Amino acid sequence: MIEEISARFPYWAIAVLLVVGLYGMMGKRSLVKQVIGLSIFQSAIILFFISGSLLEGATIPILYSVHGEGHANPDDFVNPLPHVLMLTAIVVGVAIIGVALSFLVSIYREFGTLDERELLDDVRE
Amino acid sequence: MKVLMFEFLAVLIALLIWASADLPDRADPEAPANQHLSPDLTRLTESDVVIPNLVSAILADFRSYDTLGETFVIFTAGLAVVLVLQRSRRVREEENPDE
Amino acid sequence: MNDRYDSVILHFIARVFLVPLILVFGVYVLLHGELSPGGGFQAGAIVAAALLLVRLALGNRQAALRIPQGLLIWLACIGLGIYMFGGILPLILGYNFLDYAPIPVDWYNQFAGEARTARSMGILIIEIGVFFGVAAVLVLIYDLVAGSSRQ
Repeated sequence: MIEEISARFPYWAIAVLLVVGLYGMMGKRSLVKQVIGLSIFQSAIILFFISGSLLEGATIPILYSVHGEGHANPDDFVNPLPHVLMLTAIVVGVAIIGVALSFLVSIYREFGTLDERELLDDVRE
Repeated sequence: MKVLMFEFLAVLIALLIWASADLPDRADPEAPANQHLSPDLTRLTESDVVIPNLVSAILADFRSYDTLGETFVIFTAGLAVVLVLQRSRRVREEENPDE
Repeated sequence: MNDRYDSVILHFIARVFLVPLILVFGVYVLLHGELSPGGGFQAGAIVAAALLLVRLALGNRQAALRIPQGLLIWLACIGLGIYMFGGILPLILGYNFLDYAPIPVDWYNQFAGEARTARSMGILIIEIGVFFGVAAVLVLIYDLVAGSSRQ
């Protein structure tokens, strides 16, 4: 039972985080909170990839750091590929949030509010 | 609508947790994600690229096209922020020249 | 966020101690990208964090490291240019795009007394390009979004 929980726990935590982010995007009326929800959703996906890169008994993906020269057994290093993918995904996420915030600043200047329903009413008029 | 949304989210979280039963265990060396491509990349880094940092080797050598596109994405995001904010500022100043 | 918060301790720690330390650490992370955990993206984020720390601690107007917007855009362009240079140089020398094998490193090894391989030299060029792009764009986004909320 304990092994089962410890083997599955990261996935459950990630599922909860994913749904929290989705709730932020769907259930909140403020656009700023929706951007925060987007960021949480993205963090959940990044955590999923990083948790998939773990290996039992492995160390950081730096050759020769622990085992010395001439030793490059792939089983001794955590999977480096998800790290690379998520490294780029994190920076793209920052860029997405920057662009979203600039849109929010622009919307606030135009309409004076960031509330979804007030914005819809303003647009319909 | 709120009730519907919460029902949807509850169903989604139940589905995700149910689906996690089919995923490999945490830190499982036999997981499919750790069986293909990554061991080859580690061996190729040792034999061909000859730098210790596996992440840098993959980022800037094996996947350097990806990183090039990545840099373009960042640059485009910066340009988009500049254009959006400067245009909206200009519109505002034309409407209210007093400020 | 945009006004100066008067605290001698905050100003001293931020300006004299933390910011130079973070800047030096960012350059270290960049230059040791092939040897230890690090690389262009991380170094760019760290240096941008140092520059943003000055803005947060001292206020946007008083920040000593205030960089004009045009210069930031130029820095991002230069970063992309360095990246493309690292890709096109092997193309000129008769190899594939972004294939670092023919990059000349003998002059550098004699000059610096190191034994750097052509591939690690190419990776360093790429990472310097990424570093400029990321650092400049992060500071640019903060400056624009935070600076425009002041008015």
